[in-house]
Amino acid sequence: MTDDNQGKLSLAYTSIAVGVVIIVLGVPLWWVTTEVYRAPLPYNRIAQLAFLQPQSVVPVEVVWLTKGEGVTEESTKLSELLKANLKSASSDNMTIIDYIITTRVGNEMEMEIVKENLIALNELDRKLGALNPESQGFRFYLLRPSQIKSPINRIYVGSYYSTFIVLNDGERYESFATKIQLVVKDIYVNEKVLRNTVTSILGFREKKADVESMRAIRSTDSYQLSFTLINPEPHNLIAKWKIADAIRIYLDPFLKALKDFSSFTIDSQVLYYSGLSIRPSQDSATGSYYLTPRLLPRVINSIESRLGSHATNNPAANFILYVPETKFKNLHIRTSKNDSRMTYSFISPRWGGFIIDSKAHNALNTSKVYEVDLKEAMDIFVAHLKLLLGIPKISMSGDKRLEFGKSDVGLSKWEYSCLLRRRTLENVASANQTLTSLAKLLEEITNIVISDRIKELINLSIEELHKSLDFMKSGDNARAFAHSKTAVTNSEKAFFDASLLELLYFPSDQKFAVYVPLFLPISLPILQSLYHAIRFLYRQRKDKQKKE
Amino acid sequence: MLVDSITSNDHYHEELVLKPLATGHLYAHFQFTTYWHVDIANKDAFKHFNLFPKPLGQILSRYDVEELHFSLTQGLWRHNWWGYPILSSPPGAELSVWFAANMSQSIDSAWSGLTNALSGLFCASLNFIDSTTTVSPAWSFRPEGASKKNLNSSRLRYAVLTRETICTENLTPWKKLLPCDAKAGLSVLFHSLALYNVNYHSMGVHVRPFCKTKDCKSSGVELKQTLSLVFNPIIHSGSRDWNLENLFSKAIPSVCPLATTSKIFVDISNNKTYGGFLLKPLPHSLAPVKPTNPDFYAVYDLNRIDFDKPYASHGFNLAMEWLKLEKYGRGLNPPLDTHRYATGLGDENGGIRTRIYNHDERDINILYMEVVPWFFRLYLHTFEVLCSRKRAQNVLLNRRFIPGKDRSRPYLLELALRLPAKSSTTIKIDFQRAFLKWTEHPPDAHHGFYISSAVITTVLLNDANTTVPPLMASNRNHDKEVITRLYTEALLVTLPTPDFSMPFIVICLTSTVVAIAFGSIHNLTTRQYQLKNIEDIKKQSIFNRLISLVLPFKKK
Repeated sequence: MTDDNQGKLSLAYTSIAVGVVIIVLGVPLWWVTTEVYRAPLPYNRIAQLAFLQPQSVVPVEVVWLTKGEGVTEESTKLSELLKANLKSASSDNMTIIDYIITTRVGNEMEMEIVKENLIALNELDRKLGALNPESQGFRFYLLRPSQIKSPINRIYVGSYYSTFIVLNDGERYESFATKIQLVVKDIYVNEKVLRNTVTSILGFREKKADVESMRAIRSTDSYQLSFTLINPEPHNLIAKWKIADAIRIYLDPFLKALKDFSSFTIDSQVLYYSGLSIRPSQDSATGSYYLTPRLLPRVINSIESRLGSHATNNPAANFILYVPETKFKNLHIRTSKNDSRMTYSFISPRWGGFIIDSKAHNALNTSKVYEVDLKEAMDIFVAHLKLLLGIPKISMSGDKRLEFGKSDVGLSKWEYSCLLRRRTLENVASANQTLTSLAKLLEEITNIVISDRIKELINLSIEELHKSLDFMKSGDNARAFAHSKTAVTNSEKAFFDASLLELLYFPSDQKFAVYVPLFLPISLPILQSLYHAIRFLYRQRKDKQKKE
Repeated sequence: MLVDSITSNDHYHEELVLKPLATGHLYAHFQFTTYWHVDIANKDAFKHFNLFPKPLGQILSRYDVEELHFSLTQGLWRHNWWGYPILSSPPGAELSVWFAANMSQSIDSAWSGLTNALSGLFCASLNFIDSTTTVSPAWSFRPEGASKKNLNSSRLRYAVLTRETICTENLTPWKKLLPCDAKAGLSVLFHSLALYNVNYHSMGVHVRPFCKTKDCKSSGVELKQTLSLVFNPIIHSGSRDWNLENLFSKAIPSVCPLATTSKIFVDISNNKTYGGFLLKPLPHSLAPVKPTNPDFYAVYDLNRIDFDKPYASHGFNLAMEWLKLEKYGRGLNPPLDTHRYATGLGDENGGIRTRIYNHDERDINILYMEVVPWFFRLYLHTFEVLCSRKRAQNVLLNRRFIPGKDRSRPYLLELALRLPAKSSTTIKIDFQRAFLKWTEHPPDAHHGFYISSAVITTVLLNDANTTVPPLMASNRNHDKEVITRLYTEALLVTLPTPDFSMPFIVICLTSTVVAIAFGSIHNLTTRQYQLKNIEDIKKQSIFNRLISLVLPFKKK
């Protein structure tokens, strides 16, 4: 009996030894060799991003250029009123814009400029703008009609950061406070558009698609601008253009003003024998042809196949100048069938602009060659480009009370800062969104490899995101934008990195092909004998205790 | 910089050469040439495109290309039947590129970017071109255009993908590069059903710089798009008679208004030899085939045809009618001819034999180039040049051999040979087949692997069998030398192909063996076998008996 027991005891010890070796050595070895490398990610910091409220600070300064009269008592009242009005307007609890309102009397240098009697407003705008070109706060200058040449009744929005309000005699602060409010809300900071941009990226569904936020091409490091002249009937009429000169004269100054925003590559081409694939409608009264907005997408479709570029991956904006077929007399666009207003150009959101040049047919009688007038066309193209880049459309407000100063380069300083603010908010929101969904994805799917490079990209993106937010709070648009751009590019690089896909699609049947024939027949007997060995030893101990 | 005049700095020419071949076939060669007087290196000017196609131009400029030759070919050109083509090309896709001397990027990264961009542009699998298929031959290829800088072959990249098949998806983007698309002029004839029902089909894109002035201080870009076809009219009409409408299923309805010249040339030098034919309508003029040659082309100038006239209501249709009953020639014996084949049995060793025939009365100097993928390991000690003229000395003038590297570089063999008059020369080299990793095999692994055509480059003094369209000839220096290139047959060789389910079988088998071995040892060490009274077992129920079998330590 004891001999038998002794044998059983040694068997139990062997089982336990084998089990222990397998569990202590085998299982960790298997774990280590088959483990997917996953660099530790700052999941907490990413989760916190959701609570970050992007907030842009907009300094507004009201400056009295009138000589000292009643300023002090009005100024405090004015700033309080403005503060209350500007802030109360935001309906929901998301404040993305914070206003800092200051009031002061014009300083010496400013007064010096105004002193020159009867200065014109645009001249004044230029001179005051040159005083401090770095400052990005908005300034409202209050003037008396006697101080300027040909005073106007309207508010003059200059091409720098200044607006000029000519005060009527005895005008109270309530009156010009509403004027300031109008300019800030509708022109300088188009808060509604900003909010829509942010919310649409963060995935809150708007009830109605917002035109303004859908129009712009996504922001990148480099845009490709291609200009195309379409000549559908070279046998009847050959249109020519001097595009290189036109770009140099009309477009380059504008792009130069945007050089910190993004870089642009430009090209042009002439396409022959590709025209409309649809037949436009004919007006029975005048015999002229027209297109309706419903048909416009099909106009683009027919030429789209010959526009693409294989040389870059940058988003492209196409600008098409189309010389219609001779049979389509005076081809134009009508917004509705009964509308008699003629339009000759349209914009396609995130795609480009299109101009119909119907004047070509008038030249047909004299010669077969038609030289396109590019001055007019380039003006329209620049306007199209501004919309495609996301620069607000000022004429849309259509407010009779406003007048806008013209900039030499076609881009006012305040328009540029508007663009930067909008793009910064957009970038911050989309980087935030990308990081959050990437983190969610990586947490959920456990066999994705997370390399150190991905970790670095994510960390860098978070860093830059915070920097951008800080600069936004201090009102430095340019730097905030630069950091937001690196944040968004790095987050996207991380999201689209090919290394994430390495083992994602590792088929599980291959795993089973290894595990089932090897691990199943080995692990079952080991576990089973281990169980019995332990049970055996336990009972023996019990028996011993009983005996004692 | 000002691009002052748009009218004069580019022009465009269309040509079609039709040549009845001795075997009854018809050779049709389309050539569309665009000249643009802008230097390709001038990136500010080289972005405002008019007649030059933008999609191609952007790629050339982006990757600093100076000269580019690209062809997609289906079928093999039969030299001993058809003579020499206007432009030779090997079966499959061929791409050779000279990069600019001063580049902002490395040549290798530009080459890989370029192949990917072209693959997108032409819907061809050029993205499979990598370092394992690319070579920089030192002798066989020279720039064809006006290259200003030194001729360093390190700027040249050359690759052939023999496996590539050609179809309408390649023709459509190629057609779109033409200024008149396929809407007017000669390109209207491109009806894909007819174009692919031929014995030989080759489309090409050739870009090279040309000198604007005699001192060559400034240069422009020439783009030549070519399409070569060999029809067999006998299949279509039962005779050698043909007209444009039954070849291309269309006549020419109009002329391309952008083309400076738009001409059709019919080679009538065979008129006397094989029975004689009539051309309808009569040609506008005659042009000599070559300055030295008494033969003529019949020339049709599309710009002189009034397409509004009633007779041309279906467009301009050109017809050739033979006067006598068919007499087909066996073809001509061109001065230089070649054949290549693979030798060897089994899956281990093999060899390549190339036989080159010189039928001429004179010795001919040739350059021979062979590119072999790394998995056919060439052995240089087996290399041999054998000549049918036993007494001939110095057949092999020079040799350049760059051995391949596994998974990174192909073998390159370049030879300079002097072929004795009236002789045949055989080039021999043996290879050993390498094992590929199972993931390196292409989807259709049992199809075999191609060794691309060998290239023979020579200057023929007697160019009786070459055909040159007039525009091309006018660009040449008017000397008698014509550089001729011959491509041999491509070889299809099988490699040892594994059974692709093998890894799973191996895994399952070894796992099972390990499990059985482990199981029995484990059983021996952890179980005790002892005698039991059979009566006791019989008393147990079946269930308990099973339990006691499985559980060794069950107490009794």
